[in-house]
Amino acid sequence: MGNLDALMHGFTVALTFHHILLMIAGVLLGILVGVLPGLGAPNGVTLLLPLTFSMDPVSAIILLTSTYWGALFGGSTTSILFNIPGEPSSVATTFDGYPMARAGRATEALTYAFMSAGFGALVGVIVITLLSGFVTSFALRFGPPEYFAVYFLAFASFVAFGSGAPLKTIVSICLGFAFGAVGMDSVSGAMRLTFDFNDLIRGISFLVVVIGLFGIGEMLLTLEEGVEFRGASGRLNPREIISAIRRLPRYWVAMLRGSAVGVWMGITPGGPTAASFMSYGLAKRLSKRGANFGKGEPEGVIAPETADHSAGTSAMLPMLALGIPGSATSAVMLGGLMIWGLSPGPMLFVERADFVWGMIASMYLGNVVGVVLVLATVPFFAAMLSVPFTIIGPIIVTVCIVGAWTVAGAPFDLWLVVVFGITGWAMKKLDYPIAPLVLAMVIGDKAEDAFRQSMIMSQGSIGVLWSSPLVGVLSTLAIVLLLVPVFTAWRARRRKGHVEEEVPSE
Amino acid sequence: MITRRLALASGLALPAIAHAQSWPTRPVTLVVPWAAGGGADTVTRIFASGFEKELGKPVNVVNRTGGNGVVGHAAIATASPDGYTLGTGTSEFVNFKPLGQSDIGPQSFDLMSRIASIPAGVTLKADGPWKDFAAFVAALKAGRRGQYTGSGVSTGGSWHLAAAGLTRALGMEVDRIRWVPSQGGAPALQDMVAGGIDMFPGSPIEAKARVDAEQVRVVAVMAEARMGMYPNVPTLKELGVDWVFQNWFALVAPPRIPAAVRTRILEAAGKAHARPEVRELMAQRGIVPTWETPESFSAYAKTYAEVSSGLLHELGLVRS
Repeated sequence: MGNLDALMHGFTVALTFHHILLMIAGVLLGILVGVLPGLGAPNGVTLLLPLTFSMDPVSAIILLTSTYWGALFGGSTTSILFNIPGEPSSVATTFDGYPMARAGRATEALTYAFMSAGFGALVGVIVITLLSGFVTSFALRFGPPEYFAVYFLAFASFVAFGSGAPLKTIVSICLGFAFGAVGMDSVSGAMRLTFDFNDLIRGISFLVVVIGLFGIGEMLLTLEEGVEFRGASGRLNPREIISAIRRLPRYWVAMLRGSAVGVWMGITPGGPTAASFMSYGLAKRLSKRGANFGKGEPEGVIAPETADHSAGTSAMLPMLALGIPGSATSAVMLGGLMIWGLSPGPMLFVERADFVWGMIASMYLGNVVGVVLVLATVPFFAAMLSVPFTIIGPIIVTVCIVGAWTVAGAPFDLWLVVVFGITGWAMKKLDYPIAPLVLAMVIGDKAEDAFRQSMIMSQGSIGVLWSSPLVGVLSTLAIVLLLVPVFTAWRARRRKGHVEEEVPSE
Repeated sequence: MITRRLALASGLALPAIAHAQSWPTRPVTLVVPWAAGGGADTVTRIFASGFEKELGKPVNVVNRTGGNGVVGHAAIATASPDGYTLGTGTSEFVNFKPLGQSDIGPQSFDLMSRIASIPAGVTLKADGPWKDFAAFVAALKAGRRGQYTGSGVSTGGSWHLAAAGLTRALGMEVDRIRWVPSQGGAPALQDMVAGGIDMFPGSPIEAKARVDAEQVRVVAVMAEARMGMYPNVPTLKELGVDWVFQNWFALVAPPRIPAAVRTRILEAAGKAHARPEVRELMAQRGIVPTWETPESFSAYAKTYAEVSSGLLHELGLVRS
C-alpha cells in the first residue's frame, strides 16, 4: 500500500497552520465566486493565479483547489434558492432544488446538496488515492473516438430520459448546437455563424447563455407573475439541517451512483457539467421516485451534486498525471503548474511526490473544511429568501450583469445576456425545455471536435467508433440508451392499439 | 477592483499623457491573446515581472482569448496608442489574413521585438516502429500520402506549418503528413500515446514530461542550434534537412504611439528583458530569449509571413 504511505506523508505536508488557513481562505473565496452567477470557478482561480506565483507550489495548489471546492459548493446555493445556477455544473441542481425551495424546503435542499457534494468529493479523492496508477494507464487509452463516445454517452443518458414534448426538446437541442457552433471552427479554422460581427469570433460564451436563460429569464418570469417573491419561506432552523443530515443515508443508492458517474466523467474526462446532467438523467430513469423528479425530489438534488463534485475532484488526476485537464478549472490550474515550474505528467508522481500527495491530502481536508463552512452559511442563505423581491430582484439582476461582464469584459456580452434573458422567458412560457439547450451547448462543441478528429484519423470510416473494445462498448451503450425511449414509446403505442385497458398512463 | 482602480487612474492621468517623458504615470496593461498558463502567457508573465521593476508601476497581464488569438490581437491593435496598452503578439497573427480569419496582420501593429521563441521538433511514440529521424523519413517516403498523421494545433496553425515545411524540405508533398487538428499540444501528445497520431511537430518543451516518462521520444529539433533541454537531439540542419521553424512571442503595440513614449517603452523593455532573473526564469522552462531592434523584427516577421503564406497556399488553406 505504497499509496497510503504516500498519502500519510502528504497529510504531514498539508496539515500545517499556514495551509489550513489557506484552505479556509480559498473555500470562502470560492463560495463567494460560486454564488455569483458567471463569476465561476475558472474565473475565481484565474484571478488568484497571479497571486500564487510567489508561493511555493504546495501552498499555491492548496489555495487554488480550495477555491475550486468552495466555488462548486457555492454554485449550488443560487441554483436552489433562485433557480440561477452559480456554476455551469449546477444547472442540473436547479431542476429539483428550486422546486424544493419554493415549497419551503430550502434549508433541506441546501443541506442535501452540500452533504452529498461533500460525499461525492470524498469518493473522488479516495478513487484518486487508491487507483492513481490504474486510472492513469486507463485514461492514456483515450483518443478522439473515445472522447466522442463519452460525450455521446453523457448526451444520450440525459436526453433520452428527458420529459416534455419530444419535438420541443429537439428544437431546444438544435438551438444549443447552433449557439455552440458560433465562432471559429478549430478543425478547419473557418468562421461560423459570426455574421461579420467581430464580437462573435470568440463564440457565444456558455456562461453568458446560462446567466441569461436562467438568471434574467427567471427574473422576467417573476416580474410577470407579480412582484411578491414566490412562496419560499425564510424560516431558519438549525434543527432542519440536522434532521436533513439524518435522512441523508436513505439516499445512499443515489449518492453512490452519482459518485460513480462523477468519477467516470472526471477521469475520462467529460467534466463536471456533463457528469451532473448524466447523473440526473440516470437517477430519473432508475429511481423508484423517478416520476417525482422535477417537482422537488431530494434525489434530484443529490444525484447531480454528488456527480458534480466527484467529477471535479477526480478531474485532478488526469490533470496531474497526463497534463489533460478534465474541466475548465483544472485547465487553468494546469497553467499554474507550468508557471510554478512543474511539468504535469507521469513523472510528477515520482519526482514531486510531496507536491502530488500534499495536494491529494489537502483535497480530503479542503472538502471537509468546505462542507463545514458551507453548512454554517445555510441559515444565512436561506434567510435571503425572506428578503422582499423589490430588494433582492435588482441585486440579482446586477449580479447577473456583473457576472456576464467578468466572462470576457466585453460590452457585447451584456446585450447577449438580455437577448438570452428574453429567450429564456419565452421558452418557459412556451414550455420549451432549457436544459437540453444547455447540455447541447456544453457537449456539442467538444463532441463535434472529437468526432471530426476521429473521422480525419479514420479517413471517413465510422467504424473507428467500434475499433477497440473500449470505444465499441461506449458507442453501443450510447446508441442503446438513445433508442430505449423510442422503443418503449413505440411498444406502448402498439399495446395501446391492441389492448385498450392496459394503457400505462404516461 | 482592478478595473475600478484602472478607471480611476485613467481619469486622473489624462493631463499627464501630454508629458510623454513622465510615462508611465499609471499601471500598464499587457494583453495576451491566449489562455492563462499557456506558452504565450508564461513568456509574458515572466517578461512582465521584469518590466514592472523597470517601470516602477504595476504591469497587469490580461488574457483576452478566443478565435485562435484573433480577439486578443484585435484588442492590442485597436487599443488607444498611449503606451498604456501593449501586448504579446504571437506568430499566428501573420496568418490571420491568408486564413481568412481577420484583416489583422503585421501592418496592424507597431512591431517592437521578439521576446522569446520556441522551436518545433519531431516527436515520435517511444515504443513506435521508428527509433530515429531517418527511420521515420524512410517510412514517410515509402508510405502513401496521408498515411501517417500529425497533430498539435488547429488546421493552418504554427505546428501544422512546421510539419508541412518539413515534408516539403524532404522533397515530398506539404500534406504528406495528414493533419489532425487539436486544441493544443497536450491532447495531441495524449492521442499519440493512445496510438491515434504518428508524429508531433510541436514544441519539444511541451513533450518534456512525456519524454521523461519514456512515452515519447524527440528525434529532431527544427531550431538553428541544439536545445539546452535536449543536448543529444540533433537539429534538422545537422541531419541534412534545410528547415528551421519556430513559434515566437513578441512585444507589439497599437500603431502611432508618440515617439517619446515609444523610446521609453523600448528602453525599459530592453532592460527588463536583460534582467538576470527574467533570463533565468525563461531558461528554466527551455524558452529561448530573443531581443532585437524593431527594424530587425519587422524584417523577420516579413520573411516569416512569406514562408507561412507560401505553405498555406500549397496546403490549399488560403481563403482570401
